[in-house]
Amino acid sequence: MTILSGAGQSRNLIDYAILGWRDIVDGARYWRLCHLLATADTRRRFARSRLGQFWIMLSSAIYITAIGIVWSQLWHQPPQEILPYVAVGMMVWQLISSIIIDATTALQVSSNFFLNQYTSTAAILYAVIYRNLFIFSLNMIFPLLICLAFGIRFDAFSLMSLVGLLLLVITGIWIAFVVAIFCARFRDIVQIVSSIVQIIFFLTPVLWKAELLPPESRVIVDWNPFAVLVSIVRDPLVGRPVPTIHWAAACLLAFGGLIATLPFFGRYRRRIVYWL
Amino acid sequence: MAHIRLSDVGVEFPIHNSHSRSLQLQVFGKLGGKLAQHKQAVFVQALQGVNLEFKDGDRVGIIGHNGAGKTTLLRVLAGVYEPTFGTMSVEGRLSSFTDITLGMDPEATGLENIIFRCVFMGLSFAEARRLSPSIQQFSELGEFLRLPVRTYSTGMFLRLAFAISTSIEPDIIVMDEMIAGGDARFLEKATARLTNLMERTKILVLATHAIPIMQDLCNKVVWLDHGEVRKIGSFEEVQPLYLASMAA
Repeated sequence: MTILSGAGQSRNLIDYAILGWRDIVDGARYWRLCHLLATADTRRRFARSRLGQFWIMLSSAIYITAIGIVWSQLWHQPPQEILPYVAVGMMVWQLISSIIIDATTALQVSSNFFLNQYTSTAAILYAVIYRNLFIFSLNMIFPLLICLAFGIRFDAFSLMSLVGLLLLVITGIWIAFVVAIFCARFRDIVQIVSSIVQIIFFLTPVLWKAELLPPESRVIVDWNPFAVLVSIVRDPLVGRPVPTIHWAAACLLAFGGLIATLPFFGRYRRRIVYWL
Repeated sequence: MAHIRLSDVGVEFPIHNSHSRSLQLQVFGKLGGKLAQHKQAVFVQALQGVNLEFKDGDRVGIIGHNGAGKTTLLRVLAGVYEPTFGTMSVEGRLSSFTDITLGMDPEATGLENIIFRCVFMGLSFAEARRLSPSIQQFSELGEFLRLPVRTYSTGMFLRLAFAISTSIEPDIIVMDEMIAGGDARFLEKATARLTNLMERTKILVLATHAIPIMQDLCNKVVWLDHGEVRKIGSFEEVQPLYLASMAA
């Protein structure tokens, strides 16, 4: 039995947080829909192209190799050190940035669903994350081969990058919610978000290493949550130590951020349909 | 048992123009003062104080002029809009036939689309696969089902959408105008199937301007006027009053 009651009544922050949490959990019931939406996009993207996903893998492989070689020349670093670092880091960054960019239009693209039957906002955004994780897993094949080629040994510590990925996904969920809801309400934000993502890319150690920064500029890495997110997935894989403070920061970012944004989501989740 | 109850339901829409849609204008509107008159959000009261109760066996027709709130009411029932005021409770599996192509993907084949559309209507993959043969047969599309749907003509596409959408048996059907698809012969077959489905379902809520259809199908008529329920009753009771108000 479904009971919907008026949004007109007054509620406090905790009530909204509970509503938000319920919707986030409820979204998981629509896993079939998530699966169809996520694969439909991939299917559409690669329809009528026989090599399909291979093209994306190839283009990122070329990009990574070129950047790796140019960078190792410019900064006089041995390629075996810079190439795995850039390759893995770049793919992790692409995962983060494409989740955010896709979230800006996810709700508008699905407006047809929202207007014709009850549609879980959470499910639509889970589909965004699912699709990007799928692309990420394919994209990671080449960087992992590079790591092996340059003699990086995978051990138990490398598995920590899966823990890092889990924290990244949880952070991705609430960021996607906030971005999607804002972009549904204010249409001019869509462009702003993509510029901001571009700027964050330059400020995040993906193509460069934090230890090469002069001490007075270290603050842009130390206080950059995206630097933490990239490092907890990349560094265990390329054999770089991850400071404990990064793990603590990542947990805070994932769970603290989720809890802090629940009331926001609970408050606006059912208003979204009026904005589409 | 299926059941729908709306108590004192009201729906209010904010109308967002290009000003309120823009963050820039929202922010600077707060800083300055000149733009203040553009800032106010306009609200439309689409439904107001609606009290309705439908139970098993109810065949409800909704009439009213354009903009009376028919579609809004159907969307509230389908769970699209949460009531701004009042409470609504729905018991039973509800299917909304407002867009029968929802969830279909032009790039996928007809066979894949049968599964997609069924899952969008809330079935599991296994249930969808079980229904698939009878849908294929009813659609009469034969070998075309192996081709991507984008190669279909509009008629063929609607035919498939119709065959899938009418293959499940929900407790409650919500429909905005009658659905149909295909050529004259298919239309006859489709109408028979739809009528049969509407007779079996526990509750039907249909908004239509086609008075004869409503007379045939509905045992209860709700007349909406400016977002309020003007009258509820049998077709014979409500329809003359409605026509009289239209003439006036």
